[in-house]
Amino acid sequence: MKRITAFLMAAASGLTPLKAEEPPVAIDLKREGAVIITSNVIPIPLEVFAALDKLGDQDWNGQIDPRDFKPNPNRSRSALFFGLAISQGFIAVQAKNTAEVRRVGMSVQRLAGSLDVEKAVEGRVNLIMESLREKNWDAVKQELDRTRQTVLQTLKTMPDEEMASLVSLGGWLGGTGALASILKNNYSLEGADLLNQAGLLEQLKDGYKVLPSSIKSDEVFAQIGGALLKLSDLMKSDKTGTFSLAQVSGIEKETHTVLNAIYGN
Amino acid sequence: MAKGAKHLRFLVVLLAIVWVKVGFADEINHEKLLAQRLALMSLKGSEGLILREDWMRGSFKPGESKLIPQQLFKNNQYQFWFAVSGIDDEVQLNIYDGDGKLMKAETVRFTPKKNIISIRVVPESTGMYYLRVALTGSSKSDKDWALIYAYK
Repeated sequence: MKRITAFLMAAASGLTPLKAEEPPVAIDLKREGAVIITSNVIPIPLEVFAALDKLGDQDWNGQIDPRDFKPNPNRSRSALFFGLAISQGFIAVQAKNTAEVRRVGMSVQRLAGSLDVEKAVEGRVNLIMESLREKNWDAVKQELDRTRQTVLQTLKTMPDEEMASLVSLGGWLGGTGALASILKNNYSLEGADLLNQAGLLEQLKDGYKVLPSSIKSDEVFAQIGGALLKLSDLMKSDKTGTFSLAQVSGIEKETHTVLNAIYGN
Repeated sequence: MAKGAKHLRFLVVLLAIVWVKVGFADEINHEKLLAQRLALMSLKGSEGLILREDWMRGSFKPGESKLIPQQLFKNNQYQFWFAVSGIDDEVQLNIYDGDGKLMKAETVRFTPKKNIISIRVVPESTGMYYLRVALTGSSKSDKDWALIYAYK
């Protein structure tokens, strides 16, 4: 009786709790009014590397790029470098290459200085090194991701918060370069499916387009814009929903051309 | 005089506490903490899921739903945790593929709490997926939410 009274009172006051509805079995994503939030969560290279490892052993040591980041007064370039350094770290972790992770750790610390976020990063880098000494690779992975996240968060509190997008972009380019390179050398249909990232690339491209021109003044940024356009054509699967070896090679070539431009050689 | 100095010291300490609280206000997010607490509970001694540090946030009104795009990779498993704090209303979390078709996912509820939910999903192909978050209830004001995920 009490329950009925409460229900009637709630109904009269217009506060009837809504019942959980069944989710729609299909959604028209192109429908006007479909509320799609712009997500700024970019998968880290480790996610796609984890998927690739399930297809068999991969030559991660072959993907280690020993190039150092030349000091550059341009903050935007440093932001790209930082993202790239983190992706190098993820590759080194996949390869379980202690010396390389240590080298990346030092690069991360130096680049954090160029971005004025060294204080935020210092403790994280120490934890990377500590986990490395213990050969706790899962902890190294987690700390690298935390370092990346710490830098993104700290950059977002700064006047040029858009630098955070460049960190994500650098990381994605570094990870995609390594992925495409492995797939080119060891092609399989299933492996190539991991390049099905057209939607993600659109997100990155849109985000890049709206970055203020002041932070894209370095000439390398024109090249990056062009590369993202070319990659968006290359990252469309064919009619059968697959990626051919030629496409994989094209993606590998394009990512490495733009990575060389970013590194400055 | 000594009493004045004591008061001044108290004031300085108080201001420092307020400053610290304000300074960290951006970093502490109750919804995220709620989701993380559940995730850590679920991941305890679990099968090697790696919790991502990145997270998504937003706000909506009861009766509303939102779609969040997320790139997923075939061969991986994913688990998402969604939380809205300060309510007793029921939240929903579902996942759709790139064609807008509802995908099979294992739903984990944390009874009696209705404001938190988790789903586990194994994507059949690599591509962009859409997480649909929804809230039922009678409140008229916007509610903040957070979404985190882990993969393996």
